[in-house]
Amino acid sequence: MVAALDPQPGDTVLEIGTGSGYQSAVLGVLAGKGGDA
Amino acid sequence: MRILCTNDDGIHATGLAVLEKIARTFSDDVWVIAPETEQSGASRALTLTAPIRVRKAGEKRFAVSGTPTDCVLLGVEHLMEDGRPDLVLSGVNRGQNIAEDVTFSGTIAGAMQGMQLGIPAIALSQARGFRGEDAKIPWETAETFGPGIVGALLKAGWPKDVVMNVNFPDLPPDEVSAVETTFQGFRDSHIVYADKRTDLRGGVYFWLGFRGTLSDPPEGSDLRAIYSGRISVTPLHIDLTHAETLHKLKGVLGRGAAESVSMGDDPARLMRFVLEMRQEGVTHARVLSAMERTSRAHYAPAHMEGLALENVILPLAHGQTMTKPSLIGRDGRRA
Repeated sequence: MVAALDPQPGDTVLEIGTGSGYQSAVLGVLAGKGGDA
Repeated sequence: MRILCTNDDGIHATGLAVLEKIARTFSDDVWVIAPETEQSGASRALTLTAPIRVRKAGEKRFAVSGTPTDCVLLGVEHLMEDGRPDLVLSGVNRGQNIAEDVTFSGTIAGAMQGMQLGIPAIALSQARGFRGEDAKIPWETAETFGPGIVGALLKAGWPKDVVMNVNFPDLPPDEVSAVETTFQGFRDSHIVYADKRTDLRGGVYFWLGFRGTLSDPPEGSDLRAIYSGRISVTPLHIDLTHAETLHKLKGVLGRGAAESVSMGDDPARLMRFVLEMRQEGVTHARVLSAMERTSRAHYAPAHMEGLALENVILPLAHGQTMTKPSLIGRDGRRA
């Protein structure tokens, strides 16, 4: 799923229904500095 | 293929010659680097308080004044200077290395040192003493079955943090009934003991030895296989953590710094996790790297932490679940 989305550094990601938050954390790493999850 | 042979019974041991024969069925590039004197019971000892001397005992053949661990370390880092070995073989030990012998054994330690240096390694031992102390050790059993078993293991492969422990039963080759993949057993009686003696001037001294008492081990264990005349093959790893108690204790003593340091952060497990993700189709490099840097254990329920680096769905409260990590990482669109 994350690979299909392919977030870039600086992107802002909103995840709805995060469960444990693990996927949000992975998205956060990909959005990186300047980005938000 | 370049093979390093070592042992704990010393450079002159019969079992080492048997091991060399097994190795030569795979390659002509066989190196023998073994202790100058017997090191049985040396475990994973390193020689730290004395210099280590090396004596050249022939072509590609060295005797080392140290332990099996020293031998493999010196061999890989100094003596085999024109190329690391592709395989470390340790043995063939005079006597079985099963159950708790595994932690005393210099033979298995030699294999473990190979594994630690990133080289596939196999320990081989020939059981003895089951047909009376006077019975001849059936070295021909190890020699007969060794090449086939080593070959099958090499073909199958095994993880980088695992060593193979092969034991041949105390029977002639034509009486060996089967090969069995086993788990490491644990004896129900302690067989190492100290015999107190008195020297000729009245001083007390001790000899350590083994009692030949048999346990009643469960089926599937290395003990049962050897007792029953089967060849035992056990995959071992060096992590001695008892997972079940670890999780119970976390409930009693608290998780401590588990918020930042968790079992899931163990580098070897993390490496396996990343490899598994890749095998399961997570091929996007940045995603793989993000998953490697994000500790899934950190987000898993405390009692499930041990499973966090497995590719499994984990239950959360209120019937929710943590998605399988491979599904998170994969590009789920149809090609």
